[in-house]
Amino acid sequence: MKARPPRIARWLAAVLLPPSEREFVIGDLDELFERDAAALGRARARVRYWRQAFGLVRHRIPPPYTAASPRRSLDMSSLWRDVVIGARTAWHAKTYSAIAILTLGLAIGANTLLFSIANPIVVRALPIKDPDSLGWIQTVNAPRAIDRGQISMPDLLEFRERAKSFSAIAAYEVQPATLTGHRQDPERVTTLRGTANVTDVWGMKSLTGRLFQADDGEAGRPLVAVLSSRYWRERFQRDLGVIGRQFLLNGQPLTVVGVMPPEVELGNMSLVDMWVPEPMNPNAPRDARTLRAFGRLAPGATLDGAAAEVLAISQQQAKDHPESHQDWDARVVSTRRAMTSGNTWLVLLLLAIVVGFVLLIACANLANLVMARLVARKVDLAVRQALGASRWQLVRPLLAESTVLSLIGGVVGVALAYAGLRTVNAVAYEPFMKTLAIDGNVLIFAALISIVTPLIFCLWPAMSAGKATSAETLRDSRTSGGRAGRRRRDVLVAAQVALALSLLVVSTLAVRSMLYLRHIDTGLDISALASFRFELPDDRYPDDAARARFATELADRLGALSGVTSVAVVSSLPVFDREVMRQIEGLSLGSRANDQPWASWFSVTPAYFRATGVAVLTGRGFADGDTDRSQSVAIINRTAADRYFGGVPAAIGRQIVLAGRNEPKRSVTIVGVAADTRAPNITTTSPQVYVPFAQWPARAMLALTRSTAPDRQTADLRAAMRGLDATVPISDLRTVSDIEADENSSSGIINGLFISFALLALLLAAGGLYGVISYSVGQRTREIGVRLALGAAPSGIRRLVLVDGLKVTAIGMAIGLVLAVGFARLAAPVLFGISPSDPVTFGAVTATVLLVSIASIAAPAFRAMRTDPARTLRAD
Amino acid sequence: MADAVLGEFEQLVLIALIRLGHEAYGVTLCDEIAGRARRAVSLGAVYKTLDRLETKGLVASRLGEPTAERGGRRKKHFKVLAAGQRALKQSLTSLRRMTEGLESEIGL
Repeated sequence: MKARPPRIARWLAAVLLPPSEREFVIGDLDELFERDAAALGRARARVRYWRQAFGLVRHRIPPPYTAASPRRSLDMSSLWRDVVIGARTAWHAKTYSAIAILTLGLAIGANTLLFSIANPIVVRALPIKDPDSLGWIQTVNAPRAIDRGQISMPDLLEFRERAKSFSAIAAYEVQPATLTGHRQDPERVTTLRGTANVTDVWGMKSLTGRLFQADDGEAGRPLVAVLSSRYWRERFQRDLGVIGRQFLLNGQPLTVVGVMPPEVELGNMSLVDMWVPEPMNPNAPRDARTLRAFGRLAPGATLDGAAAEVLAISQQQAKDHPESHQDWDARVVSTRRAMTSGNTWLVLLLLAIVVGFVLLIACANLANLVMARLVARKVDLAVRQALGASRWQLVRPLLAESTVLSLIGGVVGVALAYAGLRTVNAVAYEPFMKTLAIDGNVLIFAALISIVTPLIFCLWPAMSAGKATSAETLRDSRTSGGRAGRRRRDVLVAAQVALALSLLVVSTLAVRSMLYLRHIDTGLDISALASFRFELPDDRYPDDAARARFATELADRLGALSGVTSVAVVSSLPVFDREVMRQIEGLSLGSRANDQPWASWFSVTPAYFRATGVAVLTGRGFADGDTDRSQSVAIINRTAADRYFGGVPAAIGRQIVLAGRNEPKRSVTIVGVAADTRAPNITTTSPQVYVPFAQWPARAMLALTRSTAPDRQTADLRAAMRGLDATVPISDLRTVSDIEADENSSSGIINGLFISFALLALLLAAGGLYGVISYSVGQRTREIGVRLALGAAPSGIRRLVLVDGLKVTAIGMAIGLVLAVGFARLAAPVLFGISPSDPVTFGAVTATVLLVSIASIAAPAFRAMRTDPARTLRAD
Repeated sequence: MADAVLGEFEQLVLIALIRLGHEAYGVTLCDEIAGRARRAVSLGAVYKTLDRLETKGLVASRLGEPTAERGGRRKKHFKVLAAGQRALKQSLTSLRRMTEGLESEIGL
């Protein structure tokens, strides 16, 4: 392939060269490039092309501040000239420009990075038609701290029938299933089971084929599936021929009829492999609250009206079905509220404030630099003003130069944000975080702040530049900025310190809270655990006996592997999996009669307690003798014992009735009390009840193995499972530590953002402080020289500078602490294990800011001390 | 009119122009100076100098005919005018006079 000259360089050359020269110069450039490419290779030829183009363009830019043609203020050519002059000035003040571009790049980069994370959540349009006229029905159960609960099928049917505020109500749930017939091995897939109208109410269009129809899901209709576009792409390479093909889903034949649009793959939706219709079973248990329901508001209906109606219906349901509806209420919320939890919003808001502050600190830094440069050119400006230049004419080149720098900073920022996003993509586990990218919205955002930022940091200095009265300035040309200039600089520095301190406090609080959550003892010893999931198909394992046999045999086989010390089969993984709740009956709670006892339920094989390190505190653990032919037994955790029996010893030997959905109530005897493990939110502990797997076999289960080298065991585990039954697909085969790392990856990313933004702010503020103090020391060289000549001790000079700097810092810190208190109070709902006014955090951050400030002031202070009075006085 | 005083690089460009004759344009001038004077020369520097020489009335330029090479882009050809010749002659003569008798000392 023939080498092509670098397009950007050529375009830049074409734009920046006068039209009369464009043709032959670019011809020359291309000719040289072709020769270089042949002789030196493409890469070096490109470098030389850039260098040549740059050399050509550099000579063409007119020198700064050439006499402006009089009184043509805003036509394009003068605007263009301002930009060219701005670029030229920027090129000449290399150090300043480099600092400005770097500062702006970091600040814009931080803002852009955060925006690209918030973009899909906040800005990008939801793939829903008219989301504002959708209402989401959520259930609330205060005693169980359930805030965004789902509803059951019979309740859904009732809402459909009775809620007149909605023209249609749809619902869905996400469930794993086994797909066979596509590949050699059966495959675990994530299905979204939706009512037939779900795609309709959302107003979605298929990518290809069709979506659901009204009669899909009705009894007797053939089962259909709509593939998610991700699954279609990954598994079928976008093969259109897949439509019409038949597979088996959980042993039932189903036909692929279409592909969903890719836009729905937001948040958890990105995990869904296929959409299948939910069977409408009016006899499903009332407490099987698994459906997320939403409705399209009828014309004229409001969200509030719908909420009132839904609440009334749910109160009626509570009267009709007290056993399943006690403490449950229903409400209606808007789409945005349903899609993102309040905490997500709050974390985003906090991060947005933090990056906003970073940008402000950067602006303050630059404003100081700009002011210093204006002071240096004060005489020049005054002369121009005296000659009749308007304030706008004085400010315009400054604004143009700053805009040029800011746009370059914006490019740097986008590059930094891109690098940051790639890191996020690489570290993330959630598909949502993995798909984050820089799109048009992000670029527009970056461009906007690149354009607005120079206005912010030029405004202040520009006002002062415009105000300077010529006569005064011309008379007083020697000294610096004067008192007003110094006051302005001090205000900026104090503001920087205040902003930096407050955002450091809130970032530290957030990070410490997340570290607290991460280091909480969950009660589960996951260090040497590996696990995998599978579901036994009904056709081969039709009854409990077959399932229990399978579990026993699997445990034996896995236990025989070398290195494996214990094996447990469990219905779900404590701490990580969603809790499965059971009602507990047969308890009289006295005064708390309304508090329907419940517990999070686990069916486990006897080795569970050994494998997971969960201690049995009193009584006994499960034994091989606990089978379907022996007495039904249970073990509860300490929380359940304390809450329902008034203490651990009192629970032993008690009988309770466990009521679950889809199965008869069973009476069990409590034979032991185990230590607590945390609920999936990590911050609370639920009452728990364990039952022997042999007595309550589950279809879907999880094998847990403790071994000497869990990460090297996966192949063995897979082989053992295959040896037992090759038709059962397994999923999630990995160490539990890996599961935890994946769970933590998102909070780790947010942690990383807080830390890096806060450090960036500290760095910028320190740089600003250093810059301003050095500058004012430089400006006061004469005064210091005079003081030294008159006998002042050098150490006194050092103290003078230090004290001046620290005064400003102290004021900034005081304001910052006040800001931080408010900021931390705002953050309180997302802080765990740490008080918003945590004295350690406040103290440490204040100390850090103080130390950094002293370090920033110290260098110029020492320099001031070593001023040579003779030289400075001679300089005048 | 007194002839213009030439800078060192202007001399190099003028000599290269004379050497190249009809072949003189940006790329060949760069090559010629790079090859003979053994120094890296950028197109920008060459064009800037040519501009200056043209303003002083020492060289003239014209656009060539479009050819198939370089994407049909025309070249800008330069030639030395009489005034340029004179200025170069004077420049080199003064240089020669100044160095006369010093060859061994300078190490030429």
